[in-house]
Amino acid sequence: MPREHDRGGAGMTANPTGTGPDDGSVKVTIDGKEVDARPGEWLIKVAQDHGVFIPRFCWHERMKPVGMCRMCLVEVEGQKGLPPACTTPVADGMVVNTQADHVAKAQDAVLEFLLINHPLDCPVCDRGGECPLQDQTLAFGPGESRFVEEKRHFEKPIPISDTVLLDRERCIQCGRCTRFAAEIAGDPLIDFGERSGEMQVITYPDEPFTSYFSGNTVQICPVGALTATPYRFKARPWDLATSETSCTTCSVGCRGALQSSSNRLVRLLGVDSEPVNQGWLCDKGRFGYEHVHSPNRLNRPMVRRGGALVEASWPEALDAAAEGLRRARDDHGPGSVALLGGARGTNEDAYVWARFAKSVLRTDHVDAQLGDGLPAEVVLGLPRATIPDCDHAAAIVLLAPDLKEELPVLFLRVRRAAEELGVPLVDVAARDHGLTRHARIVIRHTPGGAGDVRDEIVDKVRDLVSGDGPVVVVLGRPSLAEPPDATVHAAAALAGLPDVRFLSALRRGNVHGALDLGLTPGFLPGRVTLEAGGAHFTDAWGAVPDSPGLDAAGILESAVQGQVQALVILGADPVADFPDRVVARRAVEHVGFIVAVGAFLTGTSRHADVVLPTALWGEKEGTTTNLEGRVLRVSQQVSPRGTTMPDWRIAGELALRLGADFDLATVDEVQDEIARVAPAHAGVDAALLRRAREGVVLPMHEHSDALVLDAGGLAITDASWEPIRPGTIASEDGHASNVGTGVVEATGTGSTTTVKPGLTETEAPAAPEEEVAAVTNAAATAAGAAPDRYRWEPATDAPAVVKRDAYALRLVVGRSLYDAGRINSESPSLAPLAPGQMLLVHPKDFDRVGVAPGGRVRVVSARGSVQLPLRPDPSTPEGVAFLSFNQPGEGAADLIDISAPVNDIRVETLRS
Amino acid sequence: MTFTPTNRAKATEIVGRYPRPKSAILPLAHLAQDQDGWLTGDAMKEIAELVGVTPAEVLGTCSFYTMLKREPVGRLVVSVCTNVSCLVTGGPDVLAHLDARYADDDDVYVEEVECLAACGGAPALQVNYEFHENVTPESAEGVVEQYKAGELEPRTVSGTAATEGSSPASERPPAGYPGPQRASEEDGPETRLITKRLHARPDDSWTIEAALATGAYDGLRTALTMTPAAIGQEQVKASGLRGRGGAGFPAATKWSFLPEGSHPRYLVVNDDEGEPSTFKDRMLTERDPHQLIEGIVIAAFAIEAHLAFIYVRGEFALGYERLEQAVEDAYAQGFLGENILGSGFDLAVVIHRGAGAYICGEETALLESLEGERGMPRIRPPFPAIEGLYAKPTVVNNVETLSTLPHIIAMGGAKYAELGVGKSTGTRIFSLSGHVNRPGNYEVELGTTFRELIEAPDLGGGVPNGREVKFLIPGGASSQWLTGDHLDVPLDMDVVQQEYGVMLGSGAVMVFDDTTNPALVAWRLAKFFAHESCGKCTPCREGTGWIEKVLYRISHGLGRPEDLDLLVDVGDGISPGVVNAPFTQTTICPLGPSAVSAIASLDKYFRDEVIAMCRVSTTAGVPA
Repeated sequence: MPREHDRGGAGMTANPTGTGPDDGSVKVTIDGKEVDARPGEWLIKVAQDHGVFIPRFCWHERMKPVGMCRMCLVEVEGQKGLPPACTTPVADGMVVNTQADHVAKAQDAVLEFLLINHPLDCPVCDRGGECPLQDQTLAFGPGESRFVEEKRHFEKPIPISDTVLLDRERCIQCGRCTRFAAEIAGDPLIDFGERSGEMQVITYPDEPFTSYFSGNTVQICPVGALTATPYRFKARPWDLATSETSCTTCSVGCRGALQSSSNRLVRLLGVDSEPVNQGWLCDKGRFGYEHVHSPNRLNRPMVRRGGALVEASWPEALDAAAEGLRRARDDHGPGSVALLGGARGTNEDAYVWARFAKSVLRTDHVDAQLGDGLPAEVVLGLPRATIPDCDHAAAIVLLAPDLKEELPVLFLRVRRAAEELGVPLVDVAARDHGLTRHARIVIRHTPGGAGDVRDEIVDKVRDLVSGDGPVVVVLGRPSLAEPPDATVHAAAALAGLPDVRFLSALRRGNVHGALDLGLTPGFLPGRVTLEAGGAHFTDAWGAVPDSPGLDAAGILESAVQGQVQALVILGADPVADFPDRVVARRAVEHVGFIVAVGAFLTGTSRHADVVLPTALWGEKEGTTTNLEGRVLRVSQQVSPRGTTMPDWRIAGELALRLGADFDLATVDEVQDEIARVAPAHAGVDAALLRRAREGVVLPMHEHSDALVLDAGGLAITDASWEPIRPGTIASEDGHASNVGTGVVEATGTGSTTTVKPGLTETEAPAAPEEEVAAVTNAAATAAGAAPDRYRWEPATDAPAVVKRDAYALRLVVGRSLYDAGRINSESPSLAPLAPGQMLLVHPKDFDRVGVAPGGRVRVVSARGSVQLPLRPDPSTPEGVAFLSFNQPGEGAADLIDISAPVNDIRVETLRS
Repeated sequence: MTFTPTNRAKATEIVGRYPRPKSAILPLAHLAQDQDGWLTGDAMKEIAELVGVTPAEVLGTCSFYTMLKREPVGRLVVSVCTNVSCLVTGGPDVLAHLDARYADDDDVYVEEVECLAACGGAPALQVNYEFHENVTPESAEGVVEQYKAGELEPRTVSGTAATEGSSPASERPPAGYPGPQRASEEDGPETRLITKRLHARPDDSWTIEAALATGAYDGLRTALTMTPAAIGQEQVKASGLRGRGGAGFPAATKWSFLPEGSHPRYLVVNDDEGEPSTFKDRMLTERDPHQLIEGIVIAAFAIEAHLAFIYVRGEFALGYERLEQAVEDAYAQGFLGENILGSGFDLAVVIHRGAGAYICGEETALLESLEGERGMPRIRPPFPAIEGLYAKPTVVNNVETLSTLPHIIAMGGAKYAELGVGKSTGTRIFSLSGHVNRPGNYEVELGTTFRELIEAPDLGGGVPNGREVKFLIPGGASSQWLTGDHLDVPLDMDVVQQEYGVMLGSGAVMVFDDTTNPALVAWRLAKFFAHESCGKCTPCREGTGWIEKVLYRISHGLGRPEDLDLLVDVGDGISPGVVNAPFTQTTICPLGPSAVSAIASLDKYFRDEVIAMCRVSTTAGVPA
């Protein structure tokens, strides 16, 4: 039975940051300069926006002010004393003096107070060199201390989680970390403890700060009180080279500042991109760069000789790969060749591989998804939402897996929309998850039964929606133990609502780029079908497949049947990633010829005949497309490992060996070709991508409001502990960037100015609106001349209802953030965080089994049987069992039958 | 240990008292201590589960409060006050003696504590929050031994009476304020309104019977015939009543800030008396709880609140007990609950016990504490009248302020305003302590002089041993000082502030004779503020600790001649300009600048003495 709670209205909080409806502006005079501001906006922000930097530690523009550090005291004429600028809302006619002598004296005093108990161990502090306490002391503080007493002492750093250490001697009690944990992450596992001079950040002794977002506290800590184990002692800030990039761990595409030292990646900082991640990263994204330097990386190609994989030269390996693929194509027809994967590369990788597969191999058996996503026509054909749409949505409907586990920073955005912005959340799922407690309406269905409640969802949403704003449906694959049919059936019903937009919750880093660029059956680059775009692409490419091909499940099944005889695996591992391991394993064992393109030797590539090692994120430039369809640049920060090369270049080399010269020598050339031939990408060329500060949402002419063009040239750095603005990192023209040093330096066209620490923030000027209009109009014209983009006409049948017998539990398989995937398992800091296999059942079902919590049981499905620990879990309803996918060891993939409408299991005790 | 089934049920009931479950953290922590003898980790986890927060948040809250013991403390917690009134009457000797005597006794946990509001009976201590006053090292040991021997039945380590309804202290004569041994039928130089009943019925003034026999709730009956506006904006306004907690803000004006038509709204009673040398609210709570409840109902009716919270200082175990009984009796008699005295007005009262934090006397810190948070003051605005408890409009009033209301209603606001002087209308209870012959609480008309209060035979009775007044601290530890030259200054809130830069504050008057080392008093006050700083604002958190360290050196023979100037400059970073009340401040609340008052006073009146002291110590080079 569906269950529902009405949770009452989520409280709209006051909107002190002034981002609400514009009800006129006020005039404020700051240091003699009259400026316009929105009423109620915090004085410190208004001053900053107008070039007056008021020193601060506790204030962070993404969190509510607390006025704790007292560093931002200013004089406001007519007000008693020295109010802190961070808690003073501006009002019309306000006259502010930030430079008066008594203001300076008070600031000087605060710095002296902060320093009396500060350890001054700067030489061994990670923050040293990018520390606002250092910088602001230099700019505003006293030269020496008059404190002659003993300083406060605490045990030096204590771990508060697996990745974060706390040094309480360095802490200046600003509360940024505790507020982040409570306000932003919703994980109040750290708090202030004790009081007065002993006040300190605490965790509960046996409950560490196991937040998926803990790394953000390290980034925003204004001193070296919180340090991250992966970065600790790895570099000095002034040795770091930085470039702006996008995280590709999941498909949110968080903007980041990627930093390296001595050609090694050492840190990823969140960049404050308003439409994407608002400065935050999840820990998997933040620390996952470690996998790039894994000792298990492949350095050289390998070919199978005498039954074993042995290292080979690139020419040997490429020749062998080309020969194997040619033979299959020529001997058994294009339908005997298939390609799986490609959702983890760049757009350029996806495009060149799609072109190679579809025009050279002429096969349409191509799928970037591995049986764990949604039908491509749904993702490509539904009206799309952007992430910022969540902020002003009339309602957000969750028809997706647990966002906290799969798309963590999107989880933060939706949580904020519900908690802070009052957007009603409708939670449709088979069990409770990370957002359930923020939901206004909760609708529960049996696993595989989302279609059964579709009318109820539509009615509830219709009742709920009042006023403006789109209905945003977050649409994904809620469980890998069932096909997407029921979810799609429910989505089809929602598609009939007015102004409904869909936000895809497919998770792999560039799965949307891969789908957009044709790595999926039946489609060609630019969101056109093979049918509609065939002629266009035959012109562009010379050839396209004759007919639509198979998806991943079909390809693997066909391989088992012997029809697919050659398989290209592109940065994927079906044996681990495909929900049905029996099918995947048999397929790779049956296929005559496998080319594995990837960075690691996997369960799949061990069966390969040729292994071609690739460069990873951070080692190659290009673009990626996030779940909104936003194309974002990724940067190369270090040299590719060993002899590895980017995937797209490998495709070009293979094409050449099969007689096709793509004539693509650089990433820019690939981007320009995509912009030319792919209808959805019209106008999105290399030059534009370089200037689009927040990326480009596809198709560009329909999202011109999302386009912000930098005029180019000027680049300025920010301090790492403050929000880092997009487009402010100087790396393009070879200047070593100094994000994090706190030194603000303008470089680029014309002049170079060095100013006082943190004193000025001048963003690169944005291009005028006319230029944006011209660019998008040209894109509209180009798109108009191209084949029509695909639109999905929702027409689905309700999947059949399958009865569950009383002794069985119906399986739900989702994901945990930390799993056995390569980013996780090859990053030393993340690998230990994978929770491991665990079957979760309702306490009542648990009691029926009769084992201790965590005791091992045998789990039997129609497909197979595995031994797993069993735990009671109140979030899982009776009759349902939950498993995390792809944890180390045997598990969900050994139980799931991909062809079954649902998967039921039995739990048996082990005979001792 | 987890809660027993009985306590688990009680805990659930406690959670249900509050609009938000997190508010129950302190009461549940007390309950856990009652059960286990200290606050165990298991208990904090269970509390977290009961109120729906993380264990880290429970620990964050609990570790703010000194009464919550996070390690075993034995059976008896002996809390010895050494704050200034006890400092000059032998408190440190008592502490040293007990400390040494019980150093190896796992049963007895001796701790130094801040002012216990027993300064009239200084030096004072508590054993499991039972007061014992006017102790000597020997008598203090005797008391502890009596508990150990079972001759006295101790409360729990959280101060709950061991046998329900029985309180050991109620059987013994209280001391330190006009109790039975000093109750006098005659008002003498006093003008007794709010202290009338406790003098008239010294043995049972707190009971419902005694209260009803002496006119309790008559004021309420009258009030309920009036309109809310007539009470607030006519009678109370006309009375000129100003808050008795310390700030002296006009009560009717405070009420008038409530936004019209915004409900629910709350009345919160500030019974968290902790200002050193102030002990009037403790007396009013222990000795006349019905007068307070009557005042609460009148105020709630006037501001149209239907839920009132009494935040009682955690250390007031007896006061809490008597308030609970009184509230129960008031419900039974129809003075609380639904349709009070047939008026159609409903009021529920929740008594909430603090757990040891001076700062919770600051109204916004009190609200935080009542919400189950760490008692850290809030940024204002918004003021509590707009966004107070649970972000709802809230009035916070002091115990004495509310206890005055029945009398204002009974005699009429205008009549009340005839008492007192200028804008300081009516009477106030002054808590007199230190070097006086008759320390205690005296209710006098405002406008009386310090000399009269200190020297009148029926009031302070003069300085012992024929000594002179060297200096006095009016208004509690936060105020700047006056000297023996200021004895003829009137007790007028505005005059003392405008002309002398001091304040009447909470009504405490501490007297120090000419043998007193002012630097030592200043150090002890600094130690108090450093201990009680909530830690939120940098200048206070760091500055109070720094001041304490420097004053320790000065007062213990390690001072440097330049230290006084250093102190003044450090003080300037907390309270720019340092000089006079009302404070300037770089902090959110006035605690920080309060810590600077003593420095300013040393500099103003005892500069030469302090510098001379430092010269000696610099030459001597060894601690005294």
